Amino acid sequence: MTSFERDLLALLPRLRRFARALAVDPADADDLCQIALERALKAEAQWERGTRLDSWMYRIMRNCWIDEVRARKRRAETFVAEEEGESVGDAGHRRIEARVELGKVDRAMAELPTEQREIIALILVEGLAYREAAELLDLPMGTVTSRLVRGRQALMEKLGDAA
Amino acid sequence: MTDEQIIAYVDGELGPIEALRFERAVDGDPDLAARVDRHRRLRESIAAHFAPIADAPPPERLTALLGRAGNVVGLPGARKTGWRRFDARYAALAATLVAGLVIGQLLPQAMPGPIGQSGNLVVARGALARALDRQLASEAPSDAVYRIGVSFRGRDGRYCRAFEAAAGAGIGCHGAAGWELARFVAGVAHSPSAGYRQASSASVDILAAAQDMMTGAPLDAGQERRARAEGWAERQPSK
Repeated sequence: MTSFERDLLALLPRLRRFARALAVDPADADDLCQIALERALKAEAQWERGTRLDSWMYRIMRNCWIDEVRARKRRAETFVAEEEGESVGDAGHRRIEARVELGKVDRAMAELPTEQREIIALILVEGLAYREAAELLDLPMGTVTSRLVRGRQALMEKLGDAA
Repeated sequence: MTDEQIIAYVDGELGPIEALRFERAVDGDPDLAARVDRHRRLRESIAAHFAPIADAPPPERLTALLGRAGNVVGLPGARKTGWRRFDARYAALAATLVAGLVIGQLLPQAMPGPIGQSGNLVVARGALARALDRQLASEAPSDAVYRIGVSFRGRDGRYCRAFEAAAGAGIGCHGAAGWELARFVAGVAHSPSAGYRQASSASVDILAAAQDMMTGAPLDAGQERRARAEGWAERQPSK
């Protein structure tokens, strides 16, 4: 095992947690992890030694997830009537909502629009600072904080006193 | 007080003076205190909900991607058959292990011993070059320093051969400058605590890289002998 692989292995538990917060569905989350790891192994040469591997991996995983969300949206637009296709969240959220065994928090996360969910995942789940999240997502700080506020308000509404 | 300010406080984003000022404001305002409390509980419940995932052992199929399972179960069988049999696990690995193994980035400029530089190329020298030239996979002397693994034709038509030694494993491809090292992975000292032989992980990487580089099937014993007789002369890439 190369030192790069060892570092990835050490990160894997956190990557799985991040994947779960993004994808919500446990099977989707591990598939997302697999795709992100494969992409990272192929792109090892692009990782600058001395920079943070966790940020680099979060970014890769997030991009993999965005690819997936876009593909699902395209598919949904092909098969679903227009007014239905315009709902919030990614196209997978209705499927997730239908699964009763997922907890309240999972369902609330699944209903968030992707751009709010990824910020909630980075800051509330992974504990990144606002600036770290902004750099990782290539977003201005103001955008990060406004999405964070809206995401949190939505979660509070959905979770009520359970939060 | 806006939600944005409350959230920034809960998330620890305020500077010490701002935070102190914020706490003073909360002290005199029960409504504000309740809002802060709600936001804090939200943060805690979201974090607590996902925390167990990071505490659970990752599934085998993910750790296997990082070379671990391949090292434990894959190599002994592969070695017995002269590295000729690639199972599906290696095929999966091969797809992922391509980047970052280029020897040029790993070695100091001038290196004595089995590896040298010829122009911009890193090439095999001395005993390593001789082993790649002469040694057949099927006929390794028991005291050989280098074990030759799979031989194959690369996509560019050149003959390439995988080799392994205590110091690591690599792939040499025969060209005008001799055996150019296309890949090399340094072995790591034997570590009993790791539960598997580290030196083998280099071989697994190389096996995967070979799978990725080769066109057609690996050479069998007869083809290997013929290629040696022809001095490993490059052939036109097939189609």
